[in-house]
Parts: sequence; C-alpha cells; structure tokens
Amino acid sequence: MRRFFIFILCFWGLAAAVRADRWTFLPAEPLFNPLIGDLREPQDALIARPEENHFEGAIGQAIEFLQWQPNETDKWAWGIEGASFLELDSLGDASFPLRVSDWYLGTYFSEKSGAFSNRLEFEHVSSHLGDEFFYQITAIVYSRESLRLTTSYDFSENFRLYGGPCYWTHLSPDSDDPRFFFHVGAEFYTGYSRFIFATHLRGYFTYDLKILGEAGGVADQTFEAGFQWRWKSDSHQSVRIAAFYYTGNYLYGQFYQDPDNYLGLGIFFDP
Amino acid sequence: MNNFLKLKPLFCLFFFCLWAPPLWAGSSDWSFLPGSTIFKPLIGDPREPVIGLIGYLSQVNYQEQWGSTYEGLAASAYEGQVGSTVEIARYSPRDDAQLGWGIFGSGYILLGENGATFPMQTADWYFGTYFSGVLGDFSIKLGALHESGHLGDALQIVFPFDVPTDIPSPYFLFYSRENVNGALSWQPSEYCRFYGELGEWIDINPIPADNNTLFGAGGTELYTPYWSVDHSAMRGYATAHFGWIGEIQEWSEEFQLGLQWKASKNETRDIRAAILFYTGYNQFGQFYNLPDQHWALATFFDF
Repeated sequence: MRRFFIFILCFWGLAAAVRADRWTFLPAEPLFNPLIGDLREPQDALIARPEENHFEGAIGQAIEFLQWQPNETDKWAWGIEGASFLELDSLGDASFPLRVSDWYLGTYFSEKSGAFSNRLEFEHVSSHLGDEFFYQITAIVYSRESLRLTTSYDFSENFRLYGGPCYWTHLSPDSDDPRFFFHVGAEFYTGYSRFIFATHLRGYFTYDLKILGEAGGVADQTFEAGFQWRWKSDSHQSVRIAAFYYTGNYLYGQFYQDPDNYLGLGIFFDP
Repeated sequence: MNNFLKLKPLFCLFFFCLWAPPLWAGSSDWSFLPGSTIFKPLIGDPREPVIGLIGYLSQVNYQEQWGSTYEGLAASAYEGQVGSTVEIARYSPRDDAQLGWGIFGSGYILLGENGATFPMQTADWYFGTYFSGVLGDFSIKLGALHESGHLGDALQIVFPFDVPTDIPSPYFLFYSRENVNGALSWQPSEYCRFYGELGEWIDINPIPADNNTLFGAGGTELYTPYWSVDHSAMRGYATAHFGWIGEIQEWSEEFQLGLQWKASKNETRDIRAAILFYTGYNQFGQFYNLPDQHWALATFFDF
C-alpha cells in the first residue's frame, strides 16, 4: 500500500507542476547536452574491444519531464535517466556469455543560462556478475548512490569544457576511501561538412577524466575521436562512430578495484 | 581465429545499411534519424522497448514452490525496463504512407527485495532491427531479434554450489535465441487499436522438446477521449495482450488499465501510469517455463 501512495503522489505532483505557465511538459530535447565523452552517460551504443575479444552494449535514455523558463535567459529542467551497460565475452560458435552488467537509475535537475549549463544528478548504480563467472568468482553486493554536479561552458559550437564535484552518498561495499570524486572533460568539434546528399558530418574529439578515491586513488580517462553524423546541423539526434582509448579501473562495479586499459570501437546513437 | 574478425561481415553489413539511408535523404521524401517511429509502440506488449518501472503488488512465491533451499529466490518485488528505438531512416512517398527502418535494444531486470537491498534475480537483453510501414489506418512491422536471458547474481549463492537434483530448481541455463517476426496493426479510430504478431525462432536455446518454434500474439488498445490538464493532455487507456508460446504450448496474458499523459494530443512522447495483471509463464528467459501471475503498479516512459 505504501508503494501505491508514493506512486500516486509522484504522478499527481507532476500534474500540479504542469499547470503553471512557462512550463514545457515532456520537451523533445534535454536542456543539458549529454556528455558524449563519458562512457557512462545514458546512451545507446555497441562497442567492440578487439584486443580482448569482448563486446559491450549500452541502452539508456534521459527523459526530461519539465522545462521551466522564468525569464528570457534562464531555463530549468527536471528529468530522470536510466541506463544498462553490459559486457559480453566471445567464445566462438556465436556464444557470447555475459561477464557483467551495470544498471543506473537517477534523477536530475539542470539549468542553462547562455553558454553555461549545469546539471545536478542523484544516481543509483548496481553491478551484477554475469553468468560466465558463476563457477569462478563470488559476486559482491555492489550498490551505490551518488550526487554529481556538472558545470559546462560552451566557448563556441566547437569547444566545450565541463567539470564538477561528486560525492558517494552510499557505498556498498563500504570503505574508508574518500567519498568525494571529481569529473572533468572537454569536447572539441570540427565544423560541419555537407556529407552524402542532405546529411551533415563533423569530426570530434573528447577527453573525459574521473578522479576517484577508491582502490587507493584512481584516474579513469577516456580519449575518444570520431565522427558525428546528423541529418541537419541543428538536429539533436545523431549517430557517432568512434574509436576510443580507456585507461583507469574497470568501469563495471563488480571489478571496480581492477585496472583496465583498452582500445574500443563504437557506434553510438544519441536520441 | 579472433571472433571479432569472424563478426566483421556483420559489422560491414551494418555499416552498409547505415550508409544507405543518407544516400536517399537528399530527396524531400526521405529523412535521416527522424526522432520518432512510424509504427507506434504496442503499449500492451510487456516486451516492447520502453523505459518502465514496475512494482509488484503480489506474485507467485518461488521460494514456496521450490522449497527453503532457495533462500536467494524470493518473490519478485520490482522490474526495471530500459529500452530504446532509433529510427534511422524514413521514406514518406504520400501523406498517408510511410516506410521506416530502425534498430532497437532493451534490457529487463527482475529484482527481489530484502530490506533495503534489491537482489537481482534475472535479466534479459534484446537487440534487433525492423522495417515498418504505415498505410492509412494500417501499420506493419517486420523485425529480427536477438534475445538472451541471464540468471542474476543473487542466485549464485544457491547455484551452482548446492543444487539438489530431486526437486525443480532455479537453474542457470543457456538461454539465447534469434527470431524473425511480424506485426500488423489496425487503428480504425483514435479510441481503439487492434494488432496481431507472428514469429518464429530461427536459432533457439534451449531447444524445445517438440521443435515448436512458432510464437504469436494478439491484442487491443482502448482509449478514452483526451481531457486537458491545463497545458497538457491526458486520457485513460486499457490494453489486453494475449501471447502464445509454442515451445511450451501455453498462453500468457497481460491486462493494463491506466492513464496516458502527453504534452499535447499529437505528441508521441508520453508518460503512462498503470495497474497491470499478468498471468501465464514467466517473461524472463531463465524462468521461461515457470508459471507466473502477478499484479503490479507500473510507470512507463514512451520516448
């Protein structure tokens, strides 16, 4: 019964907000542009790790419920985000056993004013050992919640910087490691070129860095270079084809204490 | 041989398909990454790729079924769905006729509840591609799908370390399969829609005892007129979905009653809140031949 009342309260709370002026309900595009260099941003992707013969899949979306424009320059937004990331081994004979999967669910508030945009997220993540390892490793209970503030500044349409502090509000397995961690990054874009007939293509390069206190201190870095392909230059939807290099600790929670370095080839779908 | 190289032809085919739509996109009849799908999601189908949160109000208690040995397997408490459809190309030769091609992926997770922790019982993943078309009130979708089901790590404590052989057990099986499928939908008015689905598993694990690889489904969606919530539009809906599973020769049914909420009547994005009743066999691959019946409250996000 408690679940029922929480459910009704959330649904009708949203209804009350929609009644106000200057609100946009279920807008087509999020206010805060996704951080395309962060491999844990909610996204749809297929990634190959040729050196290890592994494959990764990502399915995820941010759903913006509301946008509010209190004046001519500022906008605020609220939404939720969910994503699933999985890593598959490849054993031949079309056998791709699951190594590990991580699941994210969160909510965020974002704000945009001119070239500045900000996003405050509260996110839950749990990680689950895949059945490939059921005979070999005992799974750990990996469940965490974090608060993340990201400030982004668009210097131009070709260059963006972002960064901010983050804090683990809950850690399982618990540890005495520092709970603050930091996330910074940059996105560089070339100008658009007219591609095949009416489509538009541009190159991009991203650098993403997370500095975490866990496992004695970790710097997770991703260098990504690729092409972003859109129908029109102002379309929000895009397909990206990229190569990237990741170095740091394993992104999947079940192996978060183990180092990982790899070259990845990916195709990403930005909704 | 490196399996990545073995898959190279598939990657080449995929990239070729991706390349083709923009070749046509120069024509005003074509669009690339249109941002919505022409075949409207079958909202009554429990395996449609959407984002959803489902809280079970009641369910068959597997622990009672299988005995106290299986302490890790309690009745399910929550189900999470993460799904996405990306329509890559669309061709619109006439106002009332459209064709589209896209891909979709979805993940489904089933969680138990143990105090403040939610141990994972099982998870399924789907990935596929489709071609779709709309002509007047009719729409059609032809697709190919890969599905795999994986036992959750919460059950590792009971399997494989202490599996008894004398009683039915939650078992870790190789559940991986591909199918081709088709769906035909008829929407004579904005208040009702009828659909039928038919498919066949072309590579199926576990292999059914009688090699029956067909499956099908049919259902309906019923809607009330919209009413205004100031700047937005809301309506009630009810769905009934009947699925036939050839490999176990059984039916599964799901019924939903809920509210659908959009920014305006013509928008495709919506939030739905519903109460649902499911009866039949478990939708998760690892438990595919186990009976399941549950009531649940659900929120879905169709984007």
